[in-house]
Amino acid sequence: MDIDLTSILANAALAAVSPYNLLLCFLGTIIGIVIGALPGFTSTMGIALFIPFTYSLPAAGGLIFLVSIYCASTYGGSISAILINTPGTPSAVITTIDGYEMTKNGEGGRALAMSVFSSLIGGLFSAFALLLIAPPLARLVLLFGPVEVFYLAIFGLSVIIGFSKGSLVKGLISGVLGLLLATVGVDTISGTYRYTLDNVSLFEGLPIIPVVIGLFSACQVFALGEQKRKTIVQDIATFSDSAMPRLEDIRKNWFNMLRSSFIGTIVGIIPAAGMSIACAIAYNEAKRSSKHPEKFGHGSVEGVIASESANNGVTGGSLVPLLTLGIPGNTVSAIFLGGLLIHGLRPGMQLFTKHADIAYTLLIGLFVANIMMFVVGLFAAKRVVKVTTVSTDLLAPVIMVLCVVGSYAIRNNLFDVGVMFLFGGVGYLMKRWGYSAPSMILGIILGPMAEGEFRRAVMLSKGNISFFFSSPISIILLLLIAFTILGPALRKKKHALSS
Amino acid sequence: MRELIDDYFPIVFLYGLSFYFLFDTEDFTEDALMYPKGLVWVLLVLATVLLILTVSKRITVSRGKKDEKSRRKFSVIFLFSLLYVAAVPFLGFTISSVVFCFLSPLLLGYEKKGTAFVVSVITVALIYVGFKMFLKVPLPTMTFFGITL
Repeated sequence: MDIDLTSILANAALAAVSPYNLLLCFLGTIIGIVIGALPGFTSTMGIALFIPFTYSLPAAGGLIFLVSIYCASTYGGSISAILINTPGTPSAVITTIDGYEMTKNGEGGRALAMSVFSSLIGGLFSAFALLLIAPPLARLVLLFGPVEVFYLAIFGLSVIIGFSKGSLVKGLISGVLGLLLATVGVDTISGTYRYTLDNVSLFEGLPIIPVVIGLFSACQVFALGEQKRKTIVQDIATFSDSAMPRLEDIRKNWFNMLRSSFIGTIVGIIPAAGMSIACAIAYNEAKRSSKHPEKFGHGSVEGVIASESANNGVTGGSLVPLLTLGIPGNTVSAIFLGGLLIHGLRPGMQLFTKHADIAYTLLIGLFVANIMMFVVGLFAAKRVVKVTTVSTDLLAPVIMVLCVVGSYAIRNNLFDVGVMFLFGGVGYLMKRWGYSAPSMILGIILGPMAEGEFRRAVMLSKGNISFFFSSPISIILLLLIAFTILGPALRKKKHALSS
Repeated sequence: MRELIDDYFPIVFLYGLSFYFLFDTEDFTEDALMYPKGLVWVLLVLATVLLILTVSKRITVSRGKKDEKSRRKFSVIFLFSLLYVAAVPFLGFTISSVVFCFLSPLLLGYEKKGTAFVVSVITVALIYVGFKMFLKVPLPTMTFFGITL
């Protein structure tokens, strides 16, 4: 480690623990835990809603605020999984299996304690991996020309396959729609006005943040409004045992925690693999190597530990491809990219050289965010879950007000509020008809990069098609794209043959 | 009828949107047209595949438990939100948000008027202080006889 990097890290550490950033981290953690604990509310929605509020903050502070929401909401899902048998976020589904059983067995406090401790270990492990892997990987981007960057964008778009939960065709349609919507605005190469409807507000293209807020937050207002139930849940299980981590549990499960954190981090790095997959793999591994596999599903603390270490392991992992290559590892990091862009930060080598102070403060901030999540989670979990009994009739309008403030904040333009509302309706209909909102967002975010680099590559190739296959990096990227697109189909076929 | 709309309306919409993107291109240079045109053709192919799959009943829209959802409540929140968004430029953020946060729970069936009022005032006050004063995030405003609301 050269002296420069040491001083950058030291300064970043000092900046990350400054009172101002600690306060932002604390606020982000509280917001994240509440959002995570509310079933139906996701990390994606939370980050989408709060990105605009970071606009006026210093870049490092704003990003620390966002990663705090990310880490805390990922953990927060386990609180409702353990106490009300309903995972707060999809990533906590596996935690429900043993977490709620533990609560029924009178061990709710123990489950909550080990859930927050495992989340801390998973989060710290992935933060360390991010710090170790991201800076050298970002240097790789310097070797990329227009062809390679175009393939990189296509690789990012191939993630749509993973996002298409129900129908692949609908997933692809959502992605292509996103790419088409990204063409709205002035074409940066030829200067042509495309699909702007002569509206000045559309000259720069569709505003991404209002679109994101609409698709992920405003649509949730409509979904909340239409449900007949008055509250998100009715009953919360109570527990009487201590909610402090026990040394005995930590001593017996340290390997399980590290293994699950490792699995989570690796799965997080793979685009679109997702938290649920990481949790499922970690849970299976924990069960396979357990001395008491028969206890899994009946209240095994090992199951809770595996799932929670893995899902928080994904947080740092998913930021690796995002910060280095600009490829979001999952939906949350796709939204997080918006958080980087509004501060004028672009992923890649420049982030770690020109903006090294911000980048490294963010990396160190991830450690701080995980520690904050642990401290707040340890003391607040039992109280936070009561939020789920708040009337949805009160909650829905409050979220809509935040959507309006958030979509107005970036450009101070009421047109953006209209865009947010329109895409709220679009998001609601997409959900109802089984289309994938994350795929559309991915298309909108990666579209300009894909088009710009493709056209530059076409100009440079001068009609010679072999130009697109001339470098080893482009061949590797093409193979990765093929693997991502064909992999799921091949696995499905193999599974069908074997069964 | 509703199922028919759920299954086929999105496809009709996709065709409509594709044709808009295909034909609203008068002033485009050839260079600027190439990429969106290619995307439109991909979208048309995908929409046609979806149509075939829908007709052959290989894809249907999964329908949730209807009894858990209220169409009336959805209409209320949707229309009232629309009204709120439209009112912000005229009434300013503060007044329109307090009114929206107070009235919409009551319209949705929430019975405690006092709680709804307190929540609406506290929410808007917190947002105002937190975002406008602490975070310096601008809020939509309306000037009324020299007073900014």
